[in-house]
Amino acid sequence: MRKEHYIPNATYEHENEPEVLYENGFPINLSKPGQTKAGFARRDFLKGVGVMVVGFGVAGSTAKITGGSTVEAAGMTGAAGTGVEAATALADPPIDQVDSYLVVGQDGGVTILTSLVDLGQGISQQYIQWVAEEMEVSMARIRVILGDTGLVANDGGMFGSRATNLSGAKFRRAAAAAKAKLLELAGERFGVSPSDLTVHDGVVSVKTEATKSVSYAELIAGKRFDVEIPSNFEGTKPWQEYKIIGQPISRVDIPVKLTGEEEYVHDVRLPGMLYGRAIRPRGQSLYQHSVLLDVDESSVADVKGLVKIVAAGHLGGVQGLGGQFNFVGVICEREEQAVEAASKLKVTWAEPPEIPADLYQHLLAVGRTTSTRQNGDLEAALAIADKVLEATYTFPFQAHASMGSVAAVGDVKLDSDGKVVSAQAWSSTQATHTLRNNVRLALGIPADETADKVRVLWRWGAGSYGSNNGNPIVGVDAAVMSAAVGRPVKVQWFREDTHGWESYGPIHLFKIKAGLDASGNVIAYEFDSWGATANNNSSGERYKFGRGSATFRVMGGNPTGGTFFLTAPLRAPSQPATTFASESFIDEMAAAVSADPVQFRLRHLDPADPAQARGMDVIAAAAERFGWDTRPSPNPAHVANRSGVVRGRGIAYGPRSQAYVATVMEVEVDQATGAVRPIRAVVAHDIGLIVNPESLRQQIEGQVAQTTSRALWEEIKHDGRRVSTLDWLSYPYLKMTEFPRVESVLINRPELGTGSGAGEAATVSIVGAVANAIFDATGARLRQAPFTPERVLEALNAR
Amino acid sequence: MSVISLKVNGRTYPVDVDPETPLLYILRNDLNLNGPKFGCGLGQCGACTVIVEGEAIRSCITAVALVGGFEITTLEGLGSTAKMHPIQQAFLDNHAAQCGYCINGFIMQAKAFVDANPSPTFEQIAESLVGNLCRCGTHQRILAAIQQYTGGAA
Repeated sequence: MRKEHYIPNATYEHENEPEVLYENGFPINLSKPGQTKAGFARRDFLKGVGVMVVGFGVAGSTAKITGGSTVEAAGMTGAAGTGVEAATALADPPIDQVDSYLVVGQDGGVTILTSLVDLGQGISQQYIQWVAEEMEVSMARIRVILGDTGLVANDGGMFGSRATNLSGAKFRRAAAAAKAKLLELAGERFGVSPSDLTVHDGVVSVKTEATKSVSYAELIAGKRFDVEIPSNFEGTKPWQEYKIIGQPISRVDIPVKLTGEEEYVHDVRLPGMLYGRAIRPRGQSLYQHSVLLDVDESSVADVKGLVKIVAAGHLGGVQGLGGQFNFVGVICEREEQAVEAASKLKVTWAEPPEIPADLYQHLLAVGRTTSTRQNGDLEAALAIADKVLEATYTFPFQAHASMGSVAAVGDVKLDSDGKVVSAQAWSSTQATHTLRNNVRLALGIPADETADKVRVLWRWGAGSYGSNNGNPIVGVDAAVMSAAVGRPVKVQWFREDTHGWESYGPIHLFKIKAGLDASGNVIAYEFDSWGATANNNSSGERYKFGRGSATFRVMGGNPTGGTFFLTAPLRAPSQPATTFASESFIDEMAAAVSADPVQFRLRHLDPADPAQARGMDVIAAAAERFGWDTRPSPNPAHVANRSGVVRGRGIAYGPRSQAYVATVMEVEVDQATGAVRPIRAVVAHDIGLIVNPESLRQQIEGQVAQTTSRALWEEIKHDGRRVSTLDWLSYPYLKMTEFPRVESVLINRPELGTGSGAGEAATVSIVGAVANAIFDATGARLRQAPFTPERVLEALNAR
Repeated sequence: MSVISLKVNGRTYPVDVDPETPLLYILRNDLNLNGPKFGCGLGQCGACTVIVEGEAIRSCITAVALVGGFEITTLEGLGSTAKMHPIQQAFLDNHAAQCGYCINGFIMQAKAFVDANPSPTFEQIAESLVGNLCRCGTHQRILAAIQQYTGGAA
């Protein structure tokens, strides 16, 4: 076979959640990541060259969010009144300068630029609201450019609900600093102090002389602010004066999505574009073993329009991390031809190693301790306990499972010797700069030429709910295939690869043990956690449990340090698992002492602790809205009734970082079949300051729906060698008739001045709430997720 | 290859392709329509839904030769942001989209269903959409939007 594009042993960068930013929550550390390089050569306004068009209407029209539309037509040059200019030189914009994030154009519009892209959750709406609020510009004048590495500063990828933190901290300070600078300029012009000035929709006027006025565009368009982003909130608006923050404003990105006018990455079309399909083993195997043995090109001899077959990746036989980048590509004139070629091409892969039959046992066997926390003498407390309880819980690998099979477009220009002149990739990846680096590595471009030669242009994609739903990999596929032919190539994965080659949320196993005193108070609590990837969430530490310990173990047992399957953060990484275990166990403790589950939680929280007090508030609010009747679980009325359909309700408390959430879930269980039907979910939600309550409700509802499905059905399975859950039948998702009705109780705390992200927090408590509701209805305790009818029947029979 | 006459959104296009080609690829790649999306290629998710002679079909598994000469409507054929169809407006009023990748399927499926069943109950609406998946979990708002469209309580 030919090896058209062989990349020996490239070590790719993995899209990892930045621990520091994610763990510390708020305020965000401004110095990380994506450290600045010097200068403003990238968007050099003074040179007056390299201007690009940003596709949106003039001021007054609806704001437009774009990954840098029309760039593909204009290349890296063009013309516009936005003031946003494309790369003319090498450096990325510095991350500490107002100019990197906010540009005022000749048309009076304000453009926000950021690497924190929108995963379909409408986060751009928040950026617009913060900048409109702090700069005193109407929202219709604001546009957003997301994730174009040729334009935006590298603030890292979009993970861990960072966008609310970062926009609420950084963009807000930047916007306030920009306004201060504009007032200073206007003050000089009119010979007055900035305090004598007032702003209305981007026009500065002297308070006492309304005829003296000047627009932002007149003051700054074509020039730089040259102002560093302040490190504190001095100069930002007091919350009492907010007019836009806190308002339920409609998301600006929705209308075009309802009419087919939006351009998703799947919709990018370039002149002369070819269509590629990537062929990988059917379902990933242990450690992504992908050793290519043979490609029989004669098998596709009759396929029309076939341009090239490409074999790429570590095809020398390297196992371990990076195996996901191994593929055989077929490139054709038309898409259906590429599909035909991919289905006909005979590709032989080496047999992968066997997957241990019981992944959880294997996890216990190979787990090595990564961290421990100890508070007091646990053993001594257990020794004097009146009651000691123990339980083990497991949680499976689960998929992001994006609705759209992932896609990307590569456009690599080659010189006459076949060397790479430039490479562009259109992608809906969450981390554009990581993809840029991986494209560079794949194409063998020296590191110091990255920003000059490689450009990633973000486009809307299907929701990705974490990271690495396949997007970062298909982006490299597209660049490699384009480089093989020197023409633009669009690559879309098959459904089996989107399910089979993404990076899953990791499996977990938890062993929890507790001791209670004679009055039913927890005096000792031990939380032992095993995970396929690291996880330091100990849900027990949310409560005042007396003495306790927590131990975290991560999987080893593989020479490359990898996990069984690819893993990556999946919406509130690992927290639905840890909270399923710990909130189920708290219910078990409450039941053991015949306590009401709400009351039991409340009396183990300390109102003097500010975080625990907020927890108490959401638990009480959820219970109140639900109409919670105080009594122990299971429902005493059902204890004698072990047949038929019964209803129950369960509560779970699931804080995440600075977000406090409690959910009461009501379900119906058919005791003959084990089928669980979710009825109603009440979510009480406190993230501090609420930027947009309508967007917040949308996020909460979506997370309840998605996570209820994860609780009841979702589990990655394998056939002994490879992942076998490769479509929506083998990896089922709840149907339209099966979702619970969601009611959100929003607690707003504007006086805190800051708000935490809301894209993940409501995910945390759902699985535990479902398990506790099943217990309340039937007395059956589910300790293994998901709660399929078979598992529910098993638990019912064990009563 | 054979020439097939495709009638899409009121216009006729002669297309010269392998008659087995899924309709979806023709709509997206030859007619440059963004509404119908490739979600699974297996008829499992509904993202590719278009309306053919009043019936919602999965264009990813429908050979183009089967629909030659028939009236095909895509999301673009309903309305645009300048002039939305009432069902699109109802989705907007209820903020019934997040990433929006599936939403073409929900709108087209619901449009065909309501055309045939003008006064459906809430349960009938939900039942008509069991073949469409929304991973972002916009279900509640989608159902409210369709209720609004049919004149029921939102």
